[in-house]
Amino acid sequence: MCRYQLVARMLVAVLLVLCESSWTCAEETADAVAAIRKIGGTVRPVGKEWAVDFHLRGRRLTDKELVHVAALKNVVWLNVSKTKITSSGLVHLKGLDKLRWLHLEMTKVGDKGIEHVAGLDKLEYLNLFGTKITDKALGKLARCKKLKQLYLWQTDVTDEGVASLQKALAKTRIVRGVDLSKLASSFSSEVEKPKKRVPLKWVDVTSRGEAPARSEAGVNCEILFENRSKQPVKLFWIGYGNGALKFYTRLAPGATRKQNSYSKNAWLITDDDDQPLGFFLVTEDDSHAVVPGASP
Amino acid sequence: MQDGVGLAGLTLPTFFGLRADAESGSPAKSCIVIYLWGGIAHQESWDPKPEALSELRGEFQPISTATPGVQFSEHIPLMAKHSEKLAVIRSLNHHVGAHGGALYTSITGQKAPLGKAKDRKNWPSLTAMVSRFCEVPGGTPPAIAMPYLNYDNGALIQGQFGGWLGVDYDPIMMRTPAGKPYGGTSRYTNSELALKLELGRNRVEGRRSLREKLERQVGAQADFKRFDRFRQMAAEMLLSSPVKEAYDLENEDPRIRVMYGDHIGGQSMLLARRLTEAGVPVVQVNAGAGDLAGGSGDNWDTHRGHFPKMKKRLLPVFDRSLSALLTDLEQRGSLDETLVVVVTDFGRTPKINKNGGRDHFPAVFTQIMAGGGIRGGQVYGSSDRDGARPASDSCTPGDFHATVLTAMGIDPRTELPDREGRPFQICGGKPLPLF
Repeated sequence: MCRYQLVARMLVAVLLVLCESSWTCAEETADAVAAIRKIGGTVRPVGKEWAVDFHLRGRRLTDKELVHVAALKNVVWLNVSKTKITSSGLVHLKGLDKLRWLHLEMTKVGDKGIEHVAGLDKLEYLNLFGTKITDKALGKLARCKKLKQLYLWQTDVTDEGVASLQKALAKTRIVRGVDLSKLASSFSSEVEKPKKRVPLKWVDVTSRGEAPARSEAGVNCEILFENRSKQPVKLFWIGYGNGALKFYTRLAPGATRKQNSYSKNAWLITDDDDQPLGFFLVTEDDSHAVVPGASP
Repeated sequence: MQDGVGLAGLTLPTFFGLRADAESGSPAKSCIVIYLWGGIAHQESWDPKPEALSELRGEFQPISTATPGVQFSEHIPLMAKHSEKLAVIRSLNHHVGAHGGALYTSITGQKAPLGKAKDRKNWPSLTAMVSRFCEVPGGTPPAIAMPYLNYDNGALIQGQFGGWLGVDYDPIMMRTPAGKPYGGTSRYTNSELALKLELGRNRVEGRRSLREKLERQVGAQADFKRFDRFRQMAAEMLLSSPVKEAYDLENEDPRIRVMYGDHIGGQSMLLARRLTEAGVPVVQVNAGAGDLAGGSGDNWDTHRGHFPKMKKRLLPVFDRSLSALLTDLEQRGSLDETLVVVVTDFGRTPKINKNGGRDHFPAVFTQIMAGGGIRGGQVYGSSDRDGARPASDSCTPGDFHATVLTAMGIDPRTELPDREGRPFQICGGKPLPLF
């Protein structure tokens, strides 16, 4: 990584010399670049312009810190998705009149902020997925005549609002995404909310005698067995009464199995040659029973 | 000995070791490589042949797609709706009829494997090569492959690793934590790289502390340092990286998970989306059982019972998961910045054998691309009536690679030095006009 950091700094220095008309201007730009990097953003040159990205390491970006982006000017691509910015912060975008791609998805930006975006007349790509914007914002965006792509999945816009904007911006591709409520009904038989499972304790054994002698009766629950070892394992239920072993299944490495069981039941895990490896004692909760890999 | 590559041999456009954004537009920022192990039949997927001789035609019917004049097989109806996002390249061909060499040729764009699976003289995989030019923050792997590596009857196949780029560019192998596995045999062997992200924070910290103490006693040895990179990366991912968050599929909306299908193929494609969102530049999904092992499992090597296997097991999973991936990338506004490519060993014979199967056929086959600045709704090249030879615009895996590299903002003519310092042009093909 050090090599990259070094060459990236060299790149900035070279570009500043090449692209800027005066050292003063270059210093301002260098300061802005340094400030953006300090708060987790990345700055990449795009020809003589800049692409600025906060969406990975700069997610703590706040409204007032957008001032550093404004200072850079010549920004053509900006990604502030999943950051802490709100509508108020977008006032800093006003001067970025070369901006063509803007990622605002998954932020708290709402209708008020779109006023500042709508003035960016070179904007070609605008991503508002997962924001709280409504049809009010769409009315303002009708001013972005160069907009080619607009993303509105999981927002509060309506069919009417989108239709109206599409009329004003006939060439813009407006993406609404799938309707999750309809999606759920089309796969209704398969929708299963993931269960919260408590981890079941694995106990190492080397012989049958070290495992519980028998299972006791308890309440119904479900176990998800998972074989994370590198060998196939066998799953035996230790019976009630005399504790006879009942073979249930063989789990290949990486395989899982959902198993109905009861609390206070015991399950013995063996290798392919029936040599005991460990056991699980079932609790009342739905649980996750992991056959571990090699010891660390 | 040199593990990676130095700066000395880099040509100017990539002197900084990074991709260059084209001034005219924003190229792809990440790439998802979907590998169909075994060789998908072009006739029963992207290039139906309804006019072929009756004994060659097969059982499936063609269906219309969203692109006028373009037909797909009836058993990929969901992908047919996405044709406006796809570039379908129907005239690919090479000369290797065995799986190992064919995977090597398709995934490296080069002719023949030189050594064993992890030999450093091998050419880097497409996944490794693209990752070489991508900048990643600490703790983020440059490339990830999942859910299995590709084997043939127990033999790990050449071409899936970083080759002469060095061990730093071997894609990190990762298991997919959910979904019904492919039927057949799959192997998890790469224990050096298999990151057990499900481990708890305390356990990781404890383990790291112990290892650090041990290392101080052992001293810094070269082999230890090499291994150390993966251990360090694993620790960083486990503790803080967005990659860890992405890996936990329980964080995903259950309805979206259902859209991809409760299958390791679908969940791997979902994971690929989440990992690229988290900053991993290249993710490879091997969509099929990991070991061909005689061809009886859910892989694309359909020598026997080709039609029922394709119809009931292979195509439904693939159609649902890949179409979900494209839908999801599109609705998130990520498709333009994410290049999705589907790569396979080869096509399958026009002739149907006595076991109701189709055999290996490198003379013509189809691969597809989507997103990442690729113009959708287009077909490049064609095969003849029987799907036996290229009929127009014949092209090679090298050309396919050159196109991928170009889409990713990497000049295919870039030269890099190998471990002995010899300069190699990273790709011998020419970019196809798909942009």
